[in-house]
Amino acid sequence: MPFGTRLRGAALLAASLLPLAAHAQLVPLAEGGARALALGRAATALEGDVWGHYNPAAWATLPGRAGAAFASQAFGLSELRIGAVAFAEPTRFGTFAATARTYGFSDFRETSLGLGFARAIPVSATRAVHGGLHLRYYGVSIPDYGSAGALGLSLGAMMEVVPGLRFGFLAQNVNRPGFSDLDPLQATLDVGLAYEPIEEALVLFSVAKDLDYPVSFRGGLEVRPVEELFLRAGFSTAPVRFSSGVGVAVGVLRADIAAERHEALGWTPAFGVGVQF
Amino acid sequence: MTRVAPLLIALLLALPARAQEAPADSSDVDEAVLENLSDDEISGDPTALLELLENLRENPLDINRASAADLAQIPALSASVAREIVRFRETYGLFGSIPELRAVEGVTDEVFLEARPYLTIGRVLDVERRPSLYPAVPTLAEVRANARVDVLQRVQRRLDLGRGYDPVPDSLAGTPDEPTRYAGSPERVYTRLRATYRRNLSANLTLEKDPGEPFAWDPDLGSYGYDFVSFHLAALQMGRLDALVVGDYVLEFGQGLALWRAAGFGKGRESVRTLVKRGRGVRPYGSADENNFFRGAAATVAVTPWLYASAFGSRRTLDASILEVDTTEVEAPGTNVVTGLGATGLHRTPTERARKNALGQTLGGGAVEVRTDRATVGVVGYATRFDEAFAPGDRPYQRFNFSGDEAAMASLYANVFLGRYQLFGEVARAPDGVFGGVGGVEAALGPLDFVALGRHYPRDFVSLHGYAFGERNGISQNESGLYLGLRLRPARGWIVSGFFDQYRFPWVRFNVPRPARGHEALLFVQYRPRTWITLYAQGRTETRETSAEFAGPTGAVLPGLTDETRQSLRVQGEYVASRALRFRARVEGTRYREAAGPFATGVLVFQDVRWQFLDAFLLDARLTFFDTEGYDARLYQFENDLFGVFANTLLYGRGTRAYAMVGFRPGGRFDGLDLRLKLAETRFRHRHTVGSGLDEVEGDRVRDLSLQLRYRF
Repeated sequence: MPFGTRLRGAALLAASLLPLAAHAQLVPLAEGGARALALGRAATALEGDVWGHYNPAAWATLPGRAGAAFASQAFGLSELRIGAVAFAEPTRFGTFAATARTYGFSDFRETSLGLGFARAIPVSATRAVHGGLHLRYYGVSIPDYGSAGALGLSLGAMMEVVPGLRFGFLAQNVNRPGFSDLDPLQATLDVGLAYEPIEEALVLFSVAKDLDYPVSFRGGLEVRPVEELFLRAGFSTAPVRFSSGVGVAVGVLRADIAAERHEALGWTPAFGVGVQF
Repeated sequence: MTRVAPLLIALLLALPARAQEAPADSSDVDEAVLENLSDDEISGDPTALLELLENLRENPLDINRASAADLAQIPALSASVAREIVRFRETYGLFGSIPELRAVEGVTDEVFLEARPYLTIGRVLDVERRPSLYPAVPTLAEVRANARVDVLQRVQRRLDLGRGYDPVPDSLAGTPDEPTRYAGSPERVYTRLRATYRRNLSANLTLEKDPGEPFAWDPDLGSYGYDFVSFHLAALQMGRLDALVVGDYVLEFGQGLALWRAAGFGKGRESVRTLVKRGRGVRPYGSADENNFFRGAAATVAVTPWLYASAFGSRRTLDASILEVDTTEVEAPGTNVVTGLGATGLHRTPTERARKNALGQTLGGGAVEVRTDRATVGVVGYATRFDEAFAPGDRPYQRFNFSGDEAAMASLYANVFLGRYQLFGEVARAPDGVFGGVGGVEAALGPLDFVALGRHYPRDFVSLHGYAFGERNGISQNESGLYLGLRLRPARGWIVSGFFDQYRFPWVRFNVPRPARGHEALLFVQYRPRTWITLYAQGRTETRETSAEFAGPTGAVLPGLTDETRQSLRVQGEYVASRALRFRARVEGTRYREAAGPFATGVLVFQDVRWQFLDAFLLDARLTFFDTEGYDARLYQFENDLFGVFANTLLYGRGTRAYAMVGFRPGGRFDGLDLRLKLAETRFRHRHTVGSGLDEVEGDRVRDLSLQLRYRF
């Protein structure tokens, strides 16, 4: 039996038992860190993000070495649990990054390992465009059915167009990888803005088009009432989700929690810790 | 004229004489410029727009010499602003530098930036030494020294081919069941050789073979290896000779009611400046559109500095479907009638090849035009005869199609300037004595430009060679309408423009069984806070009547009309990070419905990057995601392409489109050499075939590869 058919068989099997765990692509995974989740996933132009998931160019905007770990559990279901780690190391040539993620449960497990690179390309004495790429290997394994893998390439760029306003875009899995011809991995084109009207506030907006799903408009707001505390809220359409979260930054340590509410499917809690030098 | 012939010969013979001037840096016309100027669903020969702009870019106008008519060719300059520039020059003396243009009323920052690529400034001394009433005739030495040669070779090919290119199975060859196949290879091959001296002299040879057409030597069929050959020798604006073309040419007079090349700016966000046509009279032709031009000779001479007379004659063959009349009819046995003209220029299948050059046409005519500072007034007319008669067909929508084998048309046109207002109009008499007209007023009042235009083309108003403004751009028949366009500059950096157009078709049309009406509106808001950031939003809505079937009282199906509405909203941002790097992103949504039915929606998102690297290389790449519910919610995107290629891509269904174009301009010893390569892919989701008919491709994607070599010296 070709693997694609088997995978679909497994997905159907799982669907009958657990409608939501059915397929990795059915609901975009709650990955990319608790900060981005709390900001409605509108993180295409978000600077200083160690995950690089919504834009690998963000690695080039990190002030120093950074590492983070993150866990989420979509809709409270342990079968949709995600665990992930990321590390980024700025160097003279640019920032190198490594990511790893595991998702699923014993009967359906998807693992991803990624390597990233990002750097600033100076375009004038004072301005630079940040560009980044994220090469990810995705592996899926279903006991009794087998396993498969795919290699995906994501490209992104980010730039400050005027002081306080940044623009970013992401072409995720631009090479259109898939576990089989019938099961392409999520491919998206996102464009987004980040606006900092004052130093302690950040407004995000992005438009994300997944190849297979309707266009999604996303927005997020982050405020910093005191130096160490971040309050966040966000939304997205298609599917309609609201999210909120809190972040704490003390010295080099970071901790974030987020909760996202899907219109129909309920709550997704997420938690992350990190260090940033 | 006797002075011109040696110059043209010199142009051809003296080419090896190395040009003393470095070739101007003619960066290509960006797709956004075209998008500004045109409708989404562009009609006519779109390369004509490109050619006009590219020609202007390569031969920029001297702000100290160009006439108002010349300056008005630049899309950014309205006729009124062009006149202001000339008047300013005459009042205050010559311009010392190009930026001084900003002192002219109407030349705002936006206008200046848009017009800048098409302008130059000559040495002031040269101009002051020239008191003549007519443009100077260059000397042989000048022509020899400044002649330029432009050699262009282009090959384009679809990588995923339809069954039109499959071999015929041996078992079916020669049998009645033999499937139709294309006669030639899938490459489009285009070759152009051109020699020019400034804007004044040009010699051009254009050769083209479309995909599926064979390379064959068949002079009877007009195939000299290439399927299409176009040639001209032209002299423009030299002394009393305003224009002389031998070979292929086009004619543009008035508002295009009687004579215009088959190309024009349609309705779009450039809602004012491009509406009023600026006829350039006799123009040489070198495009690859195989149908819409004349072949023979044409000339315009200045009888006095303000009176111009033109004459033209043409004999050519056209693609046509010709039917032998049933001998039981009244016509003599063996009589043929023309049932339709070919418009595509494609000669791939036996049917298409049988249509090639099947109909001869002879045309002659002339024009007289008075050009003064205050007004241009002219009359133009032609008479033509076809070798066979047209039979219009007996369907109701065909009733007023052209019939017979002779036609004559005449028109009177005028543009009159009253301060900053311009009145324009044309009235034409079509064959059978039917009159039609178009006219209105345009004004450039500083922060406000507007145009109001009315047109009336009766149902039996047949214009064989016209291309006047209308809802169906270029089809100047069976339409009346009113158009109002505005363009405002409310504050620095802001542009607000829009139009409202209301129209009706007084007679039935193909697939529309009743007279119908409709209206269309557009609103465009652009904000440019810095020269390197441009943001705009554009909304557009059109409602018109289309065919629908209704159940009659007895249950019979009755053809009728229902409203169809198409709306779109687009947001686009552009960021020029540096001279070498530019980003552009777009999000566009569209929706369509008939009557009060459900909306079919569509969305498009693209990100575009242009990067100039290592001095000599240029990368132009775009990734587009599109997702529409069917063809009705289709979307278009203009794309950058090879020099001289026009790419307005239609997207519907769900999928991605990606293209990358790499340009290489080595400079130095190879100055003037320009290499281009473009690879494009459209890939669909949930589709097993793409395209239709002989071009239907198995699979979910189509890829196109184009290569171009251009050398100018």
